[in-house]
Amino acid sequence: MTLVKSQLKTFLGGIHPAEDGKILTLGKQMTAIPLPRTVYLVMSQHIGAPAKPVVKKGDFVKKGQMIGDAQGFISAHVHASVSGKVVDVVPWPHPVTGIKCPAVVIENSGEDVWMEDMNVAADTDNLSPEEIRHSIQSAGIVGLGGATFPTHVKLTPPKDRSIDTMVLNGAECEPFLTCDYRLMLDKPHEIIEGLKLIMRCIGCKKAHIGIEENKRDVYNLFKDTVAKDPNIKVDLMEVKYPQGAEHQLIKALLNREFKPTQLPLEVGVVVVNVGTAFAVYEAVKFSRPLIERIVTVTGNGVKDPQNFLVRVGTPVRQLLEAAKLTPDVNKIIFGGPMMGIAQGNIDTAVTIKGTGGILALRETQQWESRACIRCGRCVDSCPYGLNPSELSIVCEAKEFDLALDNNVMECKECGCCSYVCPAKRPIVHLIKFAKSEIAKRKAKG
Amino acid sequence: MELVLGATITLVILGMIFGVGLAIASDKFAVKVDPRIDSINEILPGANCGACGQPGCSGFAQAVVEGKALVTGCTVGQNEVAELTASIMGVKFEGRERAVAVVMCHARGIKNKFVYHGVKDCRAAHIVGGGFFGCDYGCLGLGTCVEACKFEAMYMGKDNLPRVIEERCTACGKCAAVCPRKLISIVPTSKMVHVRCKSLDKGAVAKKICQDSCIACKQCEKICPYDAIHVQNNLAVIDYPKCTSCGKCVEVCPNHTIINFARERSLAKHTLTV
Repeated sequence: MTLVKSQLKTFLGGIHPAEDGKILTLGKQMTAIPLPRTVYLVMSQHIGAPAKPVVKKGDFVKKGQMIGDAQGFISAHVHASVSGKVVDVVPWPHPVTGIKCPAVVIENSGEDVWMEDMNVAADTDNLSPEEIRHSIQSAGIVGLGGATFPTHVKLTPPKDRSIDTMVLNGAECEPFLTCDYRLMLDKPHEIIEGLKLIMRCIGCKKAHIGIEENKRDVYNLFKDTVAKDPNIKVDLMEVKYPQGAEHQLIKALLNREFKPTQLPLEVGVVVVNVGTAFAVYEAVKFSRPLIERIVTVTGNGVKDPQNFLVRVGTPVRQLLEAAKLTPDVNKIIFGGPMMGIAQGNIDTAVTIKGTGGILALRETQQWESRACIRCGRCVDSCPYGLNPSELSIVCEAKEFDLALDNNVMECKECGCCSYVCPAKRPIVHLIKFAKSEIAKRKAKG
Repeated sequence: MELVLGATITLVILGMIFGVGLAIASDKFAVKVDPRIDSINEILPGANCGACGQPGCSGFAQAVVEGKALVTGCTVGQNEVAELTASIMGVKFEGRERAVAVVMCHARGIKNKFVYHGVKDCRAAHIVGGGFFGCDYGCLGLGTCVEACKFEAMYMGKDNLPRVIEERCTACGKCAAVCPRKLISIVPTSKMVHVRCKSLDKGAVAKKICQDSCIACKQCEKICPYDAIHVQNNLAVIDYPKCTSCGKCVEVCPNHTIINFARERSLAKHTLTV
């Protein structure tokens, strides 16, 4: 810890690993991998109600065709990411929850033809906010930072709330991941266009772009890109995890604070990830649904870490093999090392819209978890001001009422506490366990 | 001396005043408690297990008197307590059949899907990638049900499956409530035949995963003379009110998924469910 207070914008708490692994893929350009032979599109690619499959076995679908219809408002459409024949609609283990949910399996015919009236440039200057929102909704766009919250819901603030500031999240604070960095480097104009479309959609005038200090080239690039626009401000932030989380980002950039259980809406802010802004641009300008994204395939388990341009639903094995998977890999994580989800089966794992990174690790160290020594490091590192030590103890004793008293629901599972814990306690897992039990109890009534 | 005398007299007088005050207050502000609550509370087992759904035994006693709970609500106390409670409440009790917990999984030798290093609790393991166990429906074997049992009526067998010591089981249902996969059922002791599988996978898939799984072959459905067993969602389900435990389905089950407890129960002194 430095004695001199950093001049850069940041928040209280958080951690930063000395070697964050970004160096592995920092210089790796976006490369497209050969189209997958088969894609598996799970119907639950977002937070909210799963989509309902609208195609059946034997149907021919074109690229971009809607194959999953959103159920209810908080839900998102799913589109075919390749053109070809629907081989089956089967229950498939979801890469995040592991629970089986329906998936549409499409065999790629290799033609890769777009659906009619898609992939055509449109004039976006005269679109009304409703039209923009409709384009976003029909493109099935979800938050690409990892949480996969349907974007059209985020851009429909309640009538009594006004949004005065947009925040574009270019922090990419998760170690190892560089997908947002590469996107920002390659598509700055498109991202800014997407940002402006979103601003028009929710009717806000000001925007802040937050970029971590380890991405100075991107910072300079964006500064140049928005030089003519006085309403968009680009800010440099301290390199710290979780700088890209909504609460921490808003605190750092705007110095506004709100409860962990509240949405940024409470303080008149909407946060979108750079990937989402790019997807919005693609959807509104070219009517391209969200069927493709950048995925960082990295870690010491692959010989050739890469940033791939990947169709949604691509089997993970194909990605790993394209990055030259080593045979002794023993852990595959979807997402970054802090919040990512370890995969149970490499052969059934498929990418979803929210998959920004795939981390392949070998020789993962195993520690035995011990009793809490009450050193308080987790308390220092918790960016939400919770007491993870106490929480882990009450959750371990299955005292879920006490966990509620200690505000367990305010935890966002960022993983800082588990990272710093010298007793190697599975704090986040205990908290997730308590949360799921509390949710179960609530559902029972 | 005078001082002592003065103090004593003052205290006696004060004591009398307070005594009279308290006596009046206790009479005037008395909270009327139904005496039946206390008498029911006395006969309850006092384990405060919460199986009745009330906050502890006194909560149950109050709920019974208020008419919010049935006199038979305490499963732990069994017929004895139910009878006494019924007599206190002035209702007729016709007897109730004893029930026990039955573990509806018989999985043996199933490979795990992945190595699990997390919290040693089935419920916590279940939320990690849908559980590490090879079968998505089978017993995770971390003993959360054993931990939940307040009557020491369960233990983990060597094959990582929980066992019920039926003599001790009070059918409180705690184990059934904590099992994340809903593998434990509370079944009357007269019902001896159980389908010990919960897999909803298609037959071929289930068979590949587990040699003891229900493959939905419908042999049991065909042979049952009482129309008491049906295959629903790739799983044979017994309609217990119709089942007479005749054991015909047990004989035809190709995977030995359906099991008859009759022999064990009549043989064993401590009736373990094998």
